[in-house]
Amino acid sequence: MSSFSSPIRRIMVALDAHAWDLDALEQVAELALELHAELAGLFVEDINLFRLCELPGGEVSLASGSLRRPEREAMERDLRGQAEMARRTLERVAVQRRLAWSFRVTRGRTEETVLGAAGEADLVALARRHRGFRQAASHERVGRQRQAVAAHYRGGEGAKRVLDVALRAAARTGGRLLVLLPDDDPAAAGRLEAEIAAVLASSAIGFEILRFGPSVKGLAAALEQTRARLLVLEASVARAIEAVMPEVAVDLLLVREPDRQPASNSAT
Amino acid sequence: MPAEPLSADRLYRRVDPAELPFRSTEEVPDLTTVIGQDRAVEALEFGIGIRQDGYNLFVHGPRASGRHALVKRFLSEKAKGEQAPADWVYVNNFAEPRKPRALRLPPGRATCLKTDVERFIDDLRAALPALFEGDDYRNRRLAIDTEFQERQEHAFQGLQEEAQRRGLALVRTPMGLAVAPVRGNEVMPPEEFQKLPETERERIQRDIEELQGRLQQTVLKLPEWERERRQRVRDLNRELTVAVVANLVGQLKAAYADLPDISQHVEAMQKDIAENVEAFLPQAEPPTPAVRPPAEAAPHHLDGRRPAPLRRYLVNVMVSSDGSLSGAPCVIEDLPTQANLVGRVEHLAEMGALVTDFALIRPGALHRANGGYLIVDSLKLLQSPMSWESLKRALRAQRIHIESAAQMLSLISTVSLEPEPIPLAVKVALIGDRQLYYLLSAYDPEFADLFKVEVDLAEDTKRTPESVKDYAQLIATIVRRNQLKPFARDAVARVVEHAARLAGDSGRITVQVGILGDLLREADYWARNGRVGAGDVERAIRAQRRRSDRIAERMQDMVLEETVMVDTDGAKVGQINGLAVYGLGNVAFGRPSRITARVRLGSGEVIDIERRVELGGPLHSKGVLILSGFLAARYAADRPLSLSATLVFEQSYSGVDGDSASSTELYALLSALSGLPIGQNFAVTGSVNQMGEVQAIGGVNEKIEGFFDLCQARGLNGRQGVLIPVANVRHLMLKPEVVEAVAAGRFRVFPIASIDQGIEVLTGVPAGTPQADDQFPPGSVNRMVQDRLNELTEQRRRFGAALRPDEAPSQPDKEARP
Repeated sequence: MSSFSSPIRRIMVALDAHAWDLDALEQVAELALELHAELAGLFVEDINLFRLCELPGGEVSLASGSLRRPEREAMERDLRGQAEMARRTLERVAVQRRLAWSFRVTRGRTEETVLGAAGEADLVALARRHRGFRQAASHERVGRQRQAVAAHYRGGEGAKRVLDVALRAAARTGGRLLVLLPDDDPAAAGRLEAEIAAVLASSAIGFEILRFGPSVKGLAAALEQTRARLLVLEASVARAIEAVMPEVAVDLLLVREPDRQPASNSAT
Repeated sequence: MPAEPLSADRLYRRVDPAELPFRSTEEVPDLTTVIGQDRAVEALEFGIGIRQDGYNLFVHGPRASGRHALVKRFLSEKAKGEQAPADWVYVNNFAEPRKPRALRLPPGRATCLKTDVERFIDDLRAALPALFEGDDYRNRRLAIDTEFQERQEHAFQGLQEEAQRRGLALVRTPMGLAVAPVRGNEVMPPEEFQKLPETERERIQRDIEELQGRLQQTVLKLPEWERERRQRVRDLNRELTVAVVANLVGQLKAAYADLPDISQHVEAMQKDIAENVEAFLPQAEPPTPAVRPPAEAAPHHLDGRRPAPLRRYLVNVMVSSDGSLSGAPCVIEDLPTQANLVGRVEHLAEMGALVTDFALIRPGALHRANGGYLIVDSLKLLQSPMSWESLKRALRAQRIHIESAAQMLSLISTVSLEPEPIPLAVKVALIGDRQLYYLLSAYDPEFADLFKVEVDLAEDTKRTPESVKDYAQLIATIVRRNQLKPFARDAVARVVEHAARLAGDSGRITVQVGILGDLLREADYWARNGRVGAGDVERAIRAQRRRSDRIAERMQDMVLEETVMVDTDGAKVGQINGLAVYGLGNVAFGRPSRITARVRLGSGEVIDIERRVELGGPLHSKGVLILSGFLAARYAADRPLSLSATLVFEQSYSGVDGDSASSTELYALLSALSGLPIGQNFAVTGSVNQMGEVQAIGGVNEKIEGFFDLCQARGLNGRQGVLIPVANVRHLMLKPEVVEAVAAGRFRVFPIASIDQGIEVLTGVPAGTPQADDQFPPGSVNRMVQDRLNELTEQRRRFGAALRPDEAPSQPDKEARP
């Protein structure tokens, strides 16, 4: 694998009320260990949840189907409890690997806050796989399913960095690598395919290139089709597809563009 | 007829080495029969041969009689010629795990079944994961999962779309879902909502309530859908598993097609595997029913290669014949605790709880001996709590029911197993002491029904030329078996002589082979050349005695120091030397004891002081009453016996029992009555009957040697000797020193048939026989006794007349006074 021109020192893990799959969190921690980076946990208290408390209607429990009126105090308490649980999980995962770690809680809109904080880290990990309604059902794993890692490639230094991170993640999980290529311009896409092949030529990981298009909706459809576990993409691309992010049930790993240096560490 | 002392050759019956037809035991073949135990052998053969309920054996006899070895030898030989019994295994009861099933297999096949099942499970562990990793399964499974995920998503999506149409959205909350008005991708800020027209707010509220209701209905369907999904997955798993299992189980079924029970179990196992296929998949969570079957509770380490859920398919071999075992089993249980007898169910501590399963059932001696023979020491059995009850229960029910003592006594209430009982067909041989046999016969009503064959081992046998020859063979056998040096024939002769001494009878020899073996081994130890001689045997005998005679020596020292008073010379009225035997552990020795008698006017009572102070036993009291009867009948048949006599063992501070001193006490009494002194150079033993006949006693050799040792220590003077019952002469096997002293005229042993004979020896005065006038001749002992008793009677008569008021003088009282 190639080495980065500017090393990855800090990986931000965005944590919200929807707990991370422990396996996925451990994969991020392993990546941090490999890259000698620190883990920075960011728990976002979604302001939409507080708004619910002052609007009509109630909260239907997924466990029992019962209805209750959301109270602000109870909501805050629930979120504090989940933040604490997230902190402990992150601590355990980091301490087991002797990683430097930090954790902070903030309030805002999840995606917006995370993307806004992306400048503080070289990589941002955002759990999205279980955000869909299917989480309502219990999941049962069958054997050891190998799930794909997808990389969004649009060319340039940032995309190569995306490819590098995706390769590492795929190697770690033993899954295959899917490179998603925007098909807006067939000629450009052909060039990019050749570029990808050149970059991955020396890799032992099996890969597949899929073209999608013509819009971000196409990207969402491609992800749904491939059932990828993780999507690695540039942070700026993530901002562009923010509108469809709620519909994308895949974990995200946002790679900071090389020309942007992370801000100094914020308080934990 | 006056008693004459015995000649030296009557004191010890020698075995002439020249009569033994060999030079050493090297030339003597092994003994193939059992010496002196004909009755016991017949009983053993009968008990082993008869195949009926309750014909178990109780072998009783003295310690060191070789009873364990004898029984083991007989039973082992018998077992060898019999068919090997069936194998038994415990397997999981899939329908009711608390009650493991017991399965019977032909000999030697239990281990094969265990191996075959393990191989089958291992094959499944390889085949099933491959099957479930395969594309076919994954695609079908994915299709099911996707179908149900889509059903859920569709339901929620429908709600979401409906919500969107009404300007609302479904929002995930920490605990569930909520319906809220939205603006763009955000929940509408409350202040904006408040600014909406009231009709709009009411519409939104109505829509929210309606969607919430639908949302609730959808959520309530989720568990049902999930159950349906799981069932579909289970059906899929079963469909694929059944095919694979059916393929692999074919060999197993074919191998045990001749055993319906095994086939039935294999089918149950096959069905269970189809229901629990997850157990065979890597990293699969074990099924979590409300109550965990015990088979799943045990940790992995019990069968390191297989995870806990798979233990339910294992085979727990309780008993199995192997290639090296021919015939029926013959099991000796040295530690017959209840668990060791009937088996036990072990438990493991897991997460603070005790758990168990059928694989933790352990066999007991009854399982191992089933179809054969079991040898148990009865004393150990009775000393182990609940063992006797459990053994009887098993024999009575003819089934081995594994139940702990705690369960039997309801001491614990934790859930445990109830293994299916195993049919029992065993011949039990209990070995124990006679006393135990008679106690059980008397106090346990079930004993006689369950142990109908009594095998009574004798302590000794008649000493005949044939038995001596057999004895030499027995010695040779023990010598060879213990790899001892060969015994020369004079050593063999000396051993036989000692065997007669141990039997306490010159005409019998002990058959307590344990004691004999000890002597042979110890003689071998003392032998300094390549062969054991008579001297080595003698040394071994003396060394045995030496090791145990500290107390005997100390007691003799006390007499020599005159702390304990025993005269060995001179003559005293009313005083005599009695002889007592002390038994301490495995040794017995005799010691003289002074007995005295005093008489005075009385009403015919002979007072046993020992009895009065509760130091005398019932037999001793009986002896005293007998001598009283003799005294009254002989000397005062037609008049009141007007004496009061007291008898006592001087300086006796512990109990006295037995009647062997009754003749001695009578002599002392006669001396006291006649005023004739008794020679203190004599010691006397023998019981007496009411006719004045002296009867046999026990321990005659030890008693004679006890008095001899004291006299020898003080110096033998030729006058000293012991009076023994004539009936005991045949028991004499005295030590060489006594025999030599008698031969040299320095010590004497008198055989006594009657009190008259004895009193003559002791006083040197003729006893006297009644004449025509029923009077004893003047000057005889009996006459002096009779005269004294008559005198006492007269005194009593006079004394009584003086006291009777009607015979008193008519003068006033004061004149009557002297």
